[in-house]
Amino acid sequence: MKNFGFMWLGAFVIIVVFLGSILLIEPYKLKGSEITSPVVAPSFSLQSSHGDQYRLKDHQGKIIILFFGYTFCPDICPTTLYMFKEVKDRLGKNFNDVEIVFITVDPERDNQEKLSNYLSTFDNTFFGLTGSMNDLEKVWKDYGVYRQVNNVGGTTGYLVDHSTRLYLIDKKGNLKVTYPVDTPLSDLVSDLKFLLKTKD
Amino acid sequence: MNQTLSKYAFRFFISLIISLIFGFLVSEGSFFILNQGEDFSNEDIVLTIPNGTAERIKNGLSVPSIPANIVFYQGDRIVVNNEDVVSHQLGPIWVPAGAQGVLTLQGTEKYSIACTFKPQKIMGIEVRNSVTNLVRFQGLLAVGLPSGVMLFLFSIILFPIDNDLKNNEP
Repeated sequence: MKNFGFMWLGAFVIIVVFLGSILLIEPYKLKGSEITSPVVAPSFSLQSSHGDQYRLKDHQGKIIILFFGYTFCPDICPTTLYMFKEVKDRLGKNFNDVEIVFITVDPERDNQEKLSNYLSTFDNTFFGLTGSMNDLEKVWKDYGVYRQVNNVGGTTGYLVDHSTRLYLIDKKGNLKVTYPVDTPLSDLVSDLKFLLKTKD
Repeated sequence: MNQTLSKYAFRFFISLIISLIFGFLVSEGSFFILNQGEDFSNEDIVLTIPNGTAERIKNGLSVPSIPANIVFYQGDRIVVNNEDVVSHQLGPIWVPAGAQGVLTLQGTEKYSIACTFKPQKIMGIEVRNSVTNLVRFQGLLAVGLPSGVMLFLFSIILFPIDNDLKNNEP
């Protein structure tokens, strides 16, 4: 009976801490725009900068981040590829289950060798994909990619305006999340860590 | 001595309980007034893009009405059902044909976004702060805890515990 007051106070503190912790725990919410109905990522088979043919279906079991760009891109593409390099550094060995795939929107200039040289300045493990205009047009259409050749005849060559969305394909080969290109690095890493931990 | 401390602890406990009730009324009352009586819970805002929308826009025809500006609260989800035969985009949400795209709004912002299923191709979105359970709990503690300490201090000045003990002595 002597410590009656302490018991009440102690119980009170425990209840407050418990309620606080319950309110702090929230289910993880993906930072990107999630595609909730399972949609199989449109398949493609293109020439890879690694020298072989890259077939999307052969890479199931890995998380794939798709990005469309071109090697002559003056701004968005190098910045984004540098961000992917940072993503790799932050994920460490977990990056073994992730693949970065860069598909060209400028097949006239981006051949296999050009892509290989370009990507090696960022990371040798990144895949650069190119192909015939017909093959690529199908891929661009399937992924809703906008592409417009501009400034033809300029002294520095032409530029290609293109959409810059990032596509995340999950281990089952489904389109899972898309991100605007200016998504903070921490958000992308956070989502990847979550998805890598997820069993399915 | 222990009995005296225990009485202080009990007094403190009672002070906290009273002040937390007071804090609850103050913070919940404030939130209620600020939100003009609206519900606190987050919502799913569902937008459906009917089949043929892209074709209608291409042909300059009208499409089902979607507000030019929409207000959301942090934690709300924009759900876009794309029933069209081509992919559509609403700002950061890209939805393949026949699929559903969901974006949970996590930051407060006011912006115009590109939208492929409106003839103007642009849509205004405002994301406002929302009152989550955690914010309400923090509000309760922010008012309740300092008030509890003050109430306890005033109470021991006005009704000293030592006097109680002395009064109880034979």
